[in-house]
Amino acid sequence: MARRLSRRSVARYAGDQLLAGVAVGEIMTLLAAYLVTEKQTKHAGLIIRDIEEYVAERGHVGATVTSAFALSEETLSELRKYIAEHTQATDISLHNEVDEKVLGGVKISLPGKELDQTIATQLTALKTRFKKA
Amino acid sequence: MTELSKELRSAIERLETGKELDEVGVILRVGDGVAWIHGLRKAGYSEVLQIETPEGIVEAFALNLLEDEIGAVLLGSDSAVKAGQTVRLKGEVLTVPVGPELLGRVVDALGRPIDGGAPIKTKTRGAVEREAIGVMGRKSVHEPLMTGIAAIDAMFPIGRGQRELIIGDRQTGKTALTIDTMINQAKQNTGVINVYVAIGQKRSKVARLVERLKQEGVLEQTIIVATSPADPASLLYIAPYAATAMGEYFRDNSGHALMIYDDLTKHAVAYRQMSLLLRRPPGREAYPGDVFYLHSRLLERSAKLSDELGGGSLTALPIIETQAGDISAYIPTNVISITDGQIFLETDLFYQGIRPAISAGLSVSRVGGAAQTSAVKSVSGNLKLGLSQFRELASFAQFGSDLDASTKSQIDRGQRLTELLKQPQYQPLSVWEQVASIMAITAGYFDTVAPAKIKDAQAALLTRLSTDHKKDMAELDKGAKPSEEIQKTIETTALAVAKGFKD
Amino acid sequence: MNVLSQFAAETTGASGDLFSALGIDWRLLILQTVAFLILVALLGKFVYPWLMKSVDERQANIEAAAVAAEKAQAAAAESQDEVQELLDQARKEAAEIVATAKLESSNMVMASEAKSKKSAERIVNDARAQLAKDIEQARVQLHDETLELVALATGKVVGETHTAAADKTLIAKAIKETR
Repeated sequence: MARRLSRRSVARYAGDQLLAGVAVGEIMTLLAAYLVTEKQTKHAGLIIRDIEEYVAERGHVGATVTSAFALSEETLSELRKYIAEHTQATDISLHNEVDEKVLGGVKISLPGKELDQTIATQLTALKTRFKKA
Repeated sequence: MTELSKELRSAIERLETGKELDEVGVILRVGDGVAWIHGLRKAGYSEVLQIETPEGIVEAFALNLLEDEIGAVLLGSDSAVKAGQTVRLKGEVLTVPVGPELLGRVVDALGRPIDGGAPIKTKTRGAVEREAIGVMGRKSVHEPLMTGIAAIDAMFPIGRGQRELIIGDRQTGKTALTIDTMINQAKQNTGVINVYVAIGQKRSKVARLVERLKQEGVLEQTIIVATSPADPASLLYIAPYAATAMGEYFRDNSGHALMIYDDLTKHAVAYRQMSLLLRRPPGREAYPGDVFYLHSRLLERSAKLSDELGGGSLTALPIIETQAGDISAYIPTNVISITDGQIFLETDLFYQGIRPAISAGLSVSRVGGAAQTSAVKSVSGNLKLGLSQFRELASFAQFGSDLDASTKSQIDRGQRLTELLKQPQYQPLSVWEQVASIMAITAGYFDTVAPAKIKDAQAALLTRLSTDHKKDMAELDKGAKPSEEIQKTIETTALAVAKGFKD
Repeated sequence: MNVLSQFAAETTGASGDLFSALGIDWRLLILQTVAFLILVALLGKFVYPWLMKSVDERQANIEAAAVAAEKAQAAAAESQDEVQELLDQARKEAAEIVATAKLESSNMVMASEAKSKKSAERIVNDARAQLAKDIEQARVQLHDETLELVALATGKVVGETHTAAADKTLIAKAIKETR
């Protein structure tokens, strides 16, 4: 009986194809077909994450920055610089998500990594981490 | 109020979130105390993970490191943990607070106090999972650990650094034996620290135990690690390891500690539950394949250290509960092969009124005489022999057939010995009390006393000796072989007492 | 008898003078003497030895009985001494047993006194400890509630007063600190 392929190996294959320059649409169709055949459509999101991580390890980072207000270009470029320093990424694509609930500050989410400097997180930490009971 | 505001201020000042890009994972699914996590490729086996929930951080430790996901066992309730929550690496393995600050406290498997007292602040923390001391770091067991129970100290002596299993059916007095041993450490001022681990024991039972230890003045030198059947299986799993870490603190600092694991059967069951939920393949009786390793690595940490390492010791009294006296079941045989002997408690003996219900035939101590006080050793030589001869002839005694004089005398001697070895709970005997009592029977001084009156005669003998010959008994209590003079003293007193209880 | 009386009557007439004067018939006398002698001889041979033997035996028995009685008396006296001695010993032992029992009971009383005293002390200490625990618990609750209130208040205030410009400065500072 053939062993089922692990998600990581599938993601590795898809990532290699992407880096080789194969069209995204083509890869996604292949992936979708594989998932449907193997009845693993629930894992679609996870495979995407794995592909993102694999590709990020090879210098292509897709990051999401969450903030309470829309970020200026200056701030975005500072963030790009920061990400480049800490990940040795050569190709960074930044997406700014505006969420009032974070109240202030910024949260940088990279594949498999995160830096959370939002006010909301600090307040949650204040509420929970220093509780005695 | 000022103190309170100071604390709040310091909390706000200390508040800081991430300083750098942390490795994060995400919860895929959670249930039955197990969380499956995506990401965290750098997680190590048994490393602590921190799950960020709205109610605070819930810790877990990684046990299943698979290619696509990590299976982590939650160290708390899974009610606050939900899929999609972020998980971070703590960067260290599981540790618990260790040190003398824990003495007299009741804590849970993670070292958090559950006795309603002040929070425990220790200077050091010990790793829950730790490798046992190597061969060269050990010394052979040679110091006695007096349990105060005559049957054990005379026939199956336990030494410091030994592992002696207590095995029997339910309600046969297994925990009672360990409580008496703990009480004896306080009574005789041995300086041995007790660490009692309740693995999945009813909270009412633990509460009663704490109350009793308090009454007997033992709690100040005891640490109680308590987990109840309502706690998650992960806590039951780590409880004995965490408690051993607490005991190892004393061992590694030239002290002596006594570990009581009550009981390892429930520990194996909790581990089985965890393993099955982690989808590990089940083996015999649905236990995972490494259930032997579960107990062997725990019990190997109990040792007598060499003089170079401080000469400390960690003695273990694991308890196993059998079903219908079957000591050849899976878990009992596993643990019997790991320990240095066992004390087997039989239901039949218990209901016959022989308490402690120790089976002299099936119990053994593999360390034996090397760990026995010289005083007790000198009088107990004939004890085991007398009892085994009695056992052979016991059936004849029941039939009451005409017996020859020597058989009759063996039966009588055996009956008296059996009566003598009965001991009420919470009344451990000191060295001199054991020596005097055993000598009175084995040397024949109490041969004229009816077996039913032996306990009364023993009480009278001990009272007389403690009042009229206090100095001699204090000398005998030191443990050295009794001198001729002391033997004579015991002889005369015993004979005088025997006259009063003549048949 | 008839022959003898006839013989006596015949002989009476022959020597009648002296003996008849005395009223004694000498033939009868001789006969009677002979008869008496025969009787004595018979008695002496058969009866007397046997009689003497039984008398001797009786005498011996009496003597033996007398000696035995003496002995018995002596033995009785001796055993009475022994009994007295045993009684004395028993009394002594009984006294010892009573003393031991008294000692044991007094020890037990002392021990139970000490135990109850200890128990009372423990109850007091437990009550004190419980009080301290309750105070500590109240403190802890207050601490936690205050934290929550602070966080809530801060959240509300920041939500209302924080501006984009202030946020920009905050983010720049955060990035600088993490570098």
